[in-house]
Amino acid sequence: MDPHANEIAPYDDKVVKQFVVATLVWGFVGLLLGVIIAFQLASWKLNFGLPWISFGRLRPLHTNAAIFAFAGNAVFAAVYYSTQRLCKTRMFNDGLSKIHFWGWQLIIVLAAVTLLFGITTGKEYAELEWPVDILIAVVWVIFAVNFFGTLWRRREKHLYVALWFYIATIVTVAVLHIVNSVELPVSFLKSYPAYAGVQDALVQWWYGHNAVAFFLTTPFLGLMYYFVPKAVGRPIYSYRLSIVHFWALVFIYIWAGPHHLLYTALPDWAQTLGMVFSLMLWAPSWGGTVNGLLTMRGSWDKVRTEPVLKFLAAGVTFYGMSTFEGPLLSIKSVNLLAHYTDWIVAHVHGGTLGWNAFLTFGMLFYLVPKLWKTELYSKKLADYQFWLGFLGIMIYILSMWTAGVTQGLMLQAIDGSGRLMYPDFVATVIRIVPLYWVRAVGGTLFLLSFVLMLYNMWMTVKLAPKEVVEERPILKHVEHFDDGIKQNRHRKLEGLPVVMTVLAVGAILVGTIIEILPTITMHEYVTVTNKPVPYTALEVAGRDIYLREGCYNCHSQMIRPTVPESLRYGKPSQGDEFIYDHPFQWGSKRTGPDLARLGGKYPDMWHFRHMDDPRVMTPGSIMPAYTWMLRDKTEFMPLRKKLAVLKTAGVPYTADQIQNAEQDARAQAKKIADGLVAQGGPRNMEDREIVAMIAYLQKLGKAAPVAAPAPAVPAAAPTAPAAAAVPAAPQGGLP
Amino acid sequence: MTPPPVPATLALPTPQSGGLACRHCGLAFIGSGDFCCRGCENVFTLLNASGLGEYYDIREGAYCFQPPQPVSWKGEAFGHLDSPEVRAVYVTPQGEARFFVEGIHCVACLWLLERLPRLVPGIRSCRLDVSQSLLTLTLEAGAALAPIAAFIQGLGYRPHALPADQDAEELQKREQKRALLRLGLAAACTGNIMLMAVPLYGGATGAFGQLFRWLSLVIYLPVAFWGAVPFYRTALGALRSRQMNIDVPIALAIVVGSLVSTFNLFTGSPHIYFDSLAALVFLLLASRYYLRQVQLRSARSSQLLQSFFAPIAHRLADGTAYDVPPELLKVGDLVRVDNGERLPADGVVREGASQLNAAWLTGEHLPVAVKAGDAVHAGTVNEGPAFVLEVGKLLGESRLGQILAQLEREARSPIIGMTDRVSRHFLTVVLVMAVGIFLAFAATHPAEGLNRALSLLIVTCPCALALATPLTFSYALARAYRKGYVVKSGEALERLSQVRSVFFDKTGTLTHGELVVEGLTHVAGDPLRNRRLLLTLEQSSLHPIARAIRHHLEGESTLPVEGLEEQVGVGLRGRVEGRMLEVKAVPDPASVHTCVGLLEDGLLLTRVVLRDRLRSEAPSVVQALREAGCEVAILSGDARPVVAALAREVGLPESQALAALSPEAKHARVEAAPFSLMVGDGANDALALRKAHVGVAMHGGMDLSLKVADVYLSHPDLGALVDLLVLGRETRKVLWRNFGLSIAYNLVGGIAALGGWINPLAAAVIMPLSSITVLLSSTLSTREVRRRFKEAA
Amino acid sequence: MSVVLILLPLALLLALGFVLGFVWSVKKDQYEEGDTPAIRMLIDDSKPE
Repeated sequence: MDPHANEIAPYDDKVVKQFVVATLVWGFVGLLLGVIIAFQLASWKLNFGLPWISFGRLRPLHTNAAIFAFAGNAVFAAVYYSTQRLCKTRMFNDGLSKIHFWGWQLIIVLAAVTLLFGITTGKEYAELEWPVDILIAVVWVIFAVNFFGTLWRRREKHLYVALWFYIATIVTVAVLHIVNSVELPVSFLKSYPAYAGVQDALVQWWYGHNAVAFFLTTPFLGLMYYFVPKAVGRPIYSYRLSIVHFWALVFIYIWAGPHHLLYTALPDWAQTLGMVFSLMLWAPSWGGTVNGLLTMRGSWDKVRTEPVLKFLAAGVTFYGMSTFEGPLLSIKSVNLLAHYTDWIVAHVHGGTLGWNAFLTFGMLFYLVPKLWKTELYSKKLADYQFWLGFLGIMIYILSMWTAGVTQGLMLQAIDGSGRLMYPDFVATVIRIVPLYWVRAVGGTLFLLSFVLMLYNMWMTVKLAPKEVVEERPILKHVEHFDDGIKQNRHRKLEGLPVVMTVLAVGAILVGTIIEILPTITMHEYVTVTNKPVPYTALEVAGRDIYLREGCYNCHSQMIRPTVPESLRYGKPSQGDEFIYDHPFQWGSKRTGPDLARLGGKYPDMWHFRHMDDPRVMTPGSIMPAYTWMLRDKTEFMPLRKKLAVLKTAGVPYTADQIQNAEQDARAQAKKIADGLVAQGGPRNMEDREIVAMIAYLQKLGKAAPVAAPAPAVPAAAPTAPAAAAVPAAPQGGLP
Repeated sequence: MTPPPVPATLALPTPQSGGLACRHCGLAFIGSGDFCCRGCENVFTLLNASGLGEYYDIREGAYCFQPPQPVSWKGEAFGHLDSPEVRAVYVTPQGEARFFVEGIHCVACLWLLERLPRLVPGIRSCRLDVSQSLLTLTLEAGAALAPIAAFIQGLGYRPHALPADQDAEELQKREQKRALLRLGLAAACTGNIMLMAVPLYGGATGAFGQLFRWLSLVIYLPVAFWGAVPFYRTALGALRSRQMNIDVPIALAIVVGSLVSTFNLFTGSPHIYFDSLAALVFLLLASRYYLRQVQLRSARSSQLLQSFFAPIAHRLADGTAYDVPPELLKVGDLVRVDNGERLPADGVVREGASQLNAAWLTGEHLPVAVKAGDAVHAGTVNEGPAFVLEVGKLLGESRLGQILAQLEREARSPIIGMTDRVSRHFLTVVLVMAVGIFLAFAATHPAEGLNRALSLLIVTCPCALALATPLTFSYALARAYRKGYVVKSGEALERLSQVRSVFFDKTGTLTHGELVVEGLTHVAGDPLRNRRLLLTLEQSSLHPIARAIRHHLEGESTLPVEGLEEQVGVGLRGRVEGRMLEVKAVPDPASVHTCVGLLEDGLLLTRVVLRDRLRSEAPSVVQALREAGCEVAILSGDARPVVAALAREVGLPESQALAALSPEAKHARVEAAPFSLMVGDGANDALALRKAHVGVAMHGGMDLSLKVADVYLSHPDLGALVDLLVLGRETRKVLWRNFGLSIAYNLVGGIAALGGWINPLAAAVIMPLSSITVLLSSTLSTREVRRRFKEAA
Repeated sequence: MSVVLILLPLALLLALGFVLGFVWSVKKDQYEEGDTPAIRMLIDDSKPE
């Protein structure tokens, strides 16, 4: 390559502008979706009885849009802008930059379409189906090549700490995504994860937690370490601290995942590991916060007047708050109260709206005038936006804290005689619905503040001078730092990017192994004597509908080993109950009650009428109606393939079961449909989805380990007392 | 005795009086146009022509990492750098050269200097380390160094070429890299072992338990066999010389702990301590690395400061002057000594006559006249015209060199720190007790004996004491350094805490060290004409008095003069408007200050009183020192009345103002006083600085005083003394606090271990906790120190 | 348990890679410049020639 080839090449700011625009567009979409689902929780009527905009499908779309579309594009804008300047060179390859940008937007559009149609893997934050997963991996690798190529070609010897955070992000997200997305395709739009039950849960939350860590934290820390000093005009408070911060965070974050699974069927020691390492995160996180905030010391007057600094300062402060709250929530006793409630929702939105969005806004206010060579249209508008957004966040967080704590306490409340004080789950929901309205208002305020920014940015760009001269680095004669080593043939191996990559990969993989190890060898623990009964073909069909509608967004299937939960739902869940669950459906939030021991609790007809109109069976319920399940037909055809794929994944189906999957399913459906008719239901339901759904729901908790000596009895025994403890009131409504 | 009244109109011009700011340097100046001087204009034109006009944008509101300080002086010639013998001193065979660059203070400076390759041919690459003001250049083959240095000077900085002492540098670098590697390795292993240990504490049993235990061992091995090697090495060294040091029990604990853990692992006992041991090694390595970094940094900075004073000799050969470092001179060489330069060697004046300032010998700041044939000494400063010197003795053999050598020989007997002594005894006792407890149980329960001995070794690990002490010092030194006080060692800081009497040198210490005009008294004639006449006569003289008068009369015009001549040691004379005018000393019995008079045909027209001005902060500092319980005195080589007057001004009784002291007498005074602190700036103070319990050298002093002093002040602010005394005393308090904490914890821990109430695991948990407490105590120091040494925002 | 026999050497290998990587980065003088990189990043070469 001609060594002078790049001497006059300008920085590629076009792609940065594109990512900036995408950030603004998807930010609006993500926030709008959030506001819509917030109102849907406040009023079920806003589901409009339409499948593709029901809460269960929109909520994954909201999270995906907010995380991967909004935050993702913001991160890319930051990476493309700062990397070129920190490396004093243009991006490695413009073609790759283009493919990256358009590829990522394509992924977002595909995600939107597939999720609305209920095409999902049913794994939180990793809902996209396998073809999109592959596309993500490809685009990500292209991004990685482009990024590392730029590092390799850099004209500045030292890798600034922000670049390290980017490296960690790129490498880790690649590994996380690939490991978590190991799927066995059934068809072009359907697959089952290779892992099941506890293993799947561990992999998924190792992924899920690290998605937060490496998609919403490390790149934004890189962003902070670049844009805060830039905006303030003085270097980071302590550069050494930032380097220590990086290593400590990368090293510890990886292992904190199990804190999402406290009190679950995960072995105790793995839970302890997650908790201890989460607590250890306090140190580096606060190190980072302090480092960011102290950089602004002496500039607080500017923080009051400059929108850039205002948003950055608030963002960093929210980071401090969230990283204080996070480890707190991973303490087992706190987690017991907060988990499955809206407290977690408050925590997450403090992080995303406060840290990610505000930091992004700060970056945008810095970038847009710079990129378009102009001044910001209105500082005043930015000021209004800040306070409106801030107010929105505070209303959101406070209402959800209150809702979470209220519901958490109500669900655990036991009276003097050892009985639940609020045996009806819905009673706790009704209590917090007003707070859902408040939350929706908070979200709306934030959306409005975002619209102010859109207008501000629009006017800024519109008023910008038309002739834009692209920036170029002054490269002539600027040393290539490695001149002396260039002749050395080991040159390529010695570059620091390689080293950093090796380090990050090493750290990640060691973490991976430690976390994955128990999942792979979990069968050592899942005793051979307690093997659950695999789902029948019809139950598999029903389970796929459960996944499609995103039931896991509101219902857990994991009873924690506590007295209130046992009283309310039944015997605590055991790890070995789930070994055929591809994917696991433990859930992370209980907007509705836990379903782990639902099977046999209500008659089929109850479920039939409940799906048609939840409020008939449970007055006050906020669940959307799933009328289309009564209408749409079950797909029996692919069942044989599905069972075959599941067998490959380790579910012990016999050849007969696979061969006769369709007939078996139809036979079982007929039986259930007849039963419905007998209970006064409509005729000809055997080919409808509702029947498959009922089959699955009635199996929940029934597949429980069958003890070797007496196969049938123990399976039912544990649930019986629990079921007895639940008042039979709902059944009263049955004919 | 009252100083002559100064007419209000004759007040010194303030720098701001101009109102115009130079477009390059930004300083206010008097006159017209955009620039304060031709130099600035040149730089401005050059930068714009090179496409570096952006410099001015970057500088706008740029971040300053240190307060801008005026560069001490300009106009050096660098031609000597490119003679082969000199070049070899400064440029490595790889073509690397380094400059210490004065005047760097902001982002724009960094930007500009790193763009040198675009401005000067012959530079391949260029990097500036702002924390050390160190510019490292990689030259293209055969590129000249002098134009680069001259260019940097042209930009308004002052470059000092640094001798390329490659071996020492490389050695130090390699040593630190190795330490960092050990530290990183220990950190990586500690983290990974924790991953194994947490599940074990969390209840992992069976196959996983076994797996995690074995993995712990595997990950621990590099720590034991590489990370901890420095401890083994020093421990072995100590044992060989039958000494005790802190590393002995550390090494013993590591070795015994490793063996016991391994044994337990093999026999299936659950007690393994690989995590604790790795953490122990990591903590120790980390604090030692940090400690070394702080030490190296302050050592390096004083080394850089010394480069300020490296003299250059202009050796004459075939009528041309070649610049060489004085080390390269030989006996018989002819050397030109220009005005303002320090003599590079002892010798004899061959050509010319001049005035030499021998302040380093006599403390007298008025120059003495020399002429051809006079013997002169290295280190004196030429304050007159250039002359030629024949080198008589090499630097090392010169009077200056001999004093230097004598000082180096008289290396201080090391003060053994309190903590050192205590920890040594402590360690011996612990070892004896550990062996004792093992032997006591050896016959009946050897396992229990081993357990207790190991617990004792780990729990009483004196790292709290041994780490905290140097760390406390390092923090204090770093705090001082950030304020511009270079304290050479922790030991010096310890001595600072003991100071009971403070001795000030006068010239350049309590005073600014240069003459200024105190006032003009017009005895006869027209005042305006007198001023002009005075300036006319003084217009070209290099004498300090002339400089002071010129400065005072700036802006005044001169008159045509005939036959202006300088009579060395007497004064100046010349004819103006046909009259004979003279400037010469006019002793004034009523004043202690230097008086000169302007005489017209022998008639006194104007009397000029000059004096060395007192530093403004001197009285308050003296008072603060006395309030702090220190006895304060002035030691001066000057005449009694001058010193007495000064004493009154700073508020000292006359008995505390000792005048007319030779260097030897000064040093005798200082030596006689217990726990004395001597502040000085000249080489005449060198002996006293050395003899003092603590020697403090002021900015602007010469290299000699720097070499012998314990403390160097980079800003000439006497307030530093109070800061330093407080720092010394407060640091001592911290040490005692740490000491108390250590004792308490070790007593409790030691008793618990001996009694068998804690096992090695608990010991390993308690140990880092106690260390952290003590390290935290060291880091925080005291409130008084935090208040005084608050970092400037 | 056979999987562990593959994972164990793999984990150790990675740990080794980690240390080697660290050795590399130290030897490449990334940690020698103190705070200068943090100041240097403040400068943008924003003007075309």
